[in-house]
Amino acid sequence: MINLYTVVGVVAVAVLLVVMGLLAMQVGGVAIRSASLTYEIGTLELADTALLPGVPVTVTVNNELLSGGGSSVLLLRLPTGSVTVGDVELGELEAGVFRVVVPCDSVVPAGATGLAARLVLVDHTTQAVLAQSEQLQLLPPGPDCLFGG
Amino acid sequence: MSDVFSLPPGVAFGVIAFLLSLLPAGLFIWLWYLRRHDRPVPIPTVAGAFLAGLALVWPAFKLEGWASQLWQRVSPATAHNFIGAVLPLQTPLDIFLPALGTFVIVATVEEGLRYIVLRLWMVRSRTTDQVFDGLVIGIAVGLGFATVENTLYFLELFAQGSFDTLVFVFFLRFLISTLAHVSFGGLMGTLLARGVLDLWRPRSFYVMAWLVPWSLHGLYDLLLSLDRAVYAVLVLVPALAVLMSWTMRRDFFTVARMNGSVLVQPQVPDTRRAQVMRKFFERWESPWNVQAPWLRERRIRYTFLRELEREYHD
Repeated sequence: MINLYTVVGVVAVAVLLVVMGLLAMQVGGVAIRSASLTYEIGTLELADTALLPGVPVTVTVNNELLSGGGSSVLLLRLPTGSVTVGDVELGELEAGVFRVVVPCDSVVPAGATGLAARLVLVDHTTQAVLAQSEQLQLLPPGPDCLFGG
Repeated sequence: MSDVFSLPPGVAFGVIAFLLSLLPAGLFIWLWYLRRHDRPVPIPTVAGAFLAGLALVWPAFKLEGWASQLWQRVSPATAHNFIGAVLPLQTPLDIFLPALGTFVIVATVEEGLRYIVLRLWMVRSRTTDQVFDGLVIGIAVGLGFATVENTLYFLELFAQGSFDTLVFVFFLRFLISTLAHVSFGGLMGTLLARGVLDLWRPRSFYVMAWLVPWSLHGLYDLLLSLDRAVYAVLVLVPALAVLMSWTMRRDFFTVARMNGSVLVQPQVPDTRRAQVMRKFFERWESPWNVQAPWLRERRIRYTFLRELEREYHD
């Protein structure tokens, strides 16, 4: 027979877990599975969480492992597919900072606004994922695209 | 004499991290173990199970590391899936490949090692004689594992210099990860104890003891790697609910093994309260009905009640 205290306890634990889960999703970083990782993905940091096609953005690479590799490609990963943003040279990786411009054409489907996206740095030869950004919001092309600024 | 003893920063943070990691372990041991006053599992047994959990982390991480390196060698383009999917998801493969990492590598290695240790423990143990003991031992092993894992995670975050969210993430992860290992370990320990202490159909319990924690662990890790922490913790809710309901099951407290042999008919445990009662009623024992416990009990009851009545009327 189920005890009232058990029911109250289960409900309390369930509420606690959901609250913790929501907090974890807001804060981020909890998704890292274990400390046994031999494969490390670096982080790409941007000043803003919104990306406007046609406008240059500065990307900071946060991974010491990247400096030992070769050249790489920066991709814009969307739910519908990936778009090549540009090549990133070894020197830029070693400096830890580089500037890119999200291409104007055929990035955001017509009528779609606020598309979830991430910048992903991929090794040129092996196609291994080297680093990725947090979730970004891809805005529709701005005036730089429309007027060729 | 006034010299201050100081540790190198790395060692000091390691010690702090380990002590902090013990907090949830202490809480759960208090909740699940100390509240049980009658016939508790001996403290050395619980401590041994906790230490076994601590020791399991090293082989688990070694095996996972080798698996990850192998994956990197075979397919560098997909090796990142071992630590999580690249988001946003685009194709079903973006879920399948991380699932391969979580179910086939992580859950198999961690639950597999825990299964081997717990099964050997249960079969050979002379102190594990109730199903509930299996639950306590399973939880202790899970807590040991979570303690080391959390300590290493703390040190990793510290090395990355993520100080801004360090404390917050640390405590969130501590609670979630500890609850996860408590659930998986508790379920496995209980089901294994049922298998070991069951004479008639142990195989089904052995299979369940592997399948249930393995599938929950794989799913929990997969959801975390897909950045779905809320759903991941929801996986733990039914597991914890089942564990909590099992603490109320009286049949889990029957003594099913004595001197290392499984009993055909489990016995009601001899609790401290029962021992006190027996001692109290000893004075009304009489030699003539020693071989007839039903008569003896009736006689004791009547004598006791008669004395109570006499006392009341006086």
